[in-house]
Amino acid sequence: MAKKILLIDDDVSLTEVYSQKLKAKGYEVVVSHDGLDGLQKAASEKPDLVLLDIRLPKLDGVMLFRKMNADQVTAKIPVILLTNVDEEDAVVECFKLGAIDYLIKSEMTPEKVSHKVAKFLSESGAE
Amino acid sequence: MFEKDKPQSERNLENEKQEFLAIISHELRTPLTDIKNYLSMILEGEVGSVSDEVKEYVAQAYTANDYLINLVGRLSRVAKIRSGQIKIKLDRVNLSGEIKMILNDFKVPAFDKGQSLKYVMPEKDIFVKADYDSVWEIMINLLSNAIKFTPKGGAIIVVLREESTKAIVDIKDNGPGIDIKDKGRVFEMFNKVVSDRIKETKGSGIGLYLSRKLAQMQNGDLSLSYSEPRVGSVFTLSLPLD
Repeated sequence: MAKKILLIDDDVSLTEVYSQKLKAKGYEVVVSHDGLDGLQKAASEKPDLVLLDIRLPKLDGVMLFRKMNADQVTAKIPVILLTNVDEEDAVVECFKLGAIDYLIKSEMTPEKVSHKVAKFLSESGAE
Repeated sequence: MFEKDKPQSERNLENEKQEFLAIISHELRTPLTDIKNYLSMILEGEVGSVSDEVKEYVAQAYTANDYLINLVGRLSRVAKIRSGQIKIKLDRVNLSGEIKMILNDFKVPAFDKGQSLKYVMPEKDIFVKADYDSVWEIMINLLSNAIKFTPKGGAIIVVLREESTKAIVDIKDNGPGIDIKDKGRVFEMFNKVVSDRIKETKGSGIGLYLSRKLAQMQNGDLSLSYSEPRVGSVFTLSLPLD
């Protein structure tokens, strides 16, 4: 069964290309464009991995992560952060919350992101 | 003149400039990242096959876009430095060890240009009180410049030494050098002196400005200690010994 990735980012163009690439690699992709919706989808979709942006409307990424940790249903879902270069403080905060990695969006390409996802899922035994 | 000594109107203008810089850099980053993603999808054949000629053009656009992303990143750093948002964490740093590691990362680009890249330093390690990340940022910037401006087959030498209470790092290159009358201006952002070099090398005109600011924030300094047209330059970084 295809592994499920939840992609939470308010940049519609970015979610479009990332999800196209990840689908081409055989993953099931669920997309969310705001923090509240992302949190709900994390609980309802129970993804194998969340790619989480920091700056999000309605509920920012750090707060969303805290709420995921506080809910038994979502607490164990692994999270990789999608960040910008100037968000060091939020990254540090998210690592304290258990983030497994962070990807600086401007340094990534869809191909690199899909490699990171595949690497993580294979190392964690999920793939 | 210190910021607090400037007249209110001048300070307001400066604040507005910083805010403008911060907004511009943030607002530019997202669309530039989107462009990068779309172009890379084309290059990776994810949206159908394209001819080699189209691929070549897209690759050029990708490179130009990456240059802009890098420029925006640097502008963002400048905005943060000027508004006091960059945090400097002063630790005991083994400067000898770090320089060896940084130089290791530059072996391949120097080799590719047929340049020799050497270092001279005392056997005993030199320790400084500095911010680890900033030391790397400054050295990477200086060495990138040295490699960029030194012609094929040239030599770059990094000399580390102690002088009174400071550690001194000289980065000597065989580049085109800078005229004596322009020496004082190389650390200004987007200055005219380096504009011709920027055109030639696709530099951003921000690196030296940023590096000097970072050095000064660590109670050190960065200067152009020697330069002669068609001979080369020596940039000197000083940091307090620990």
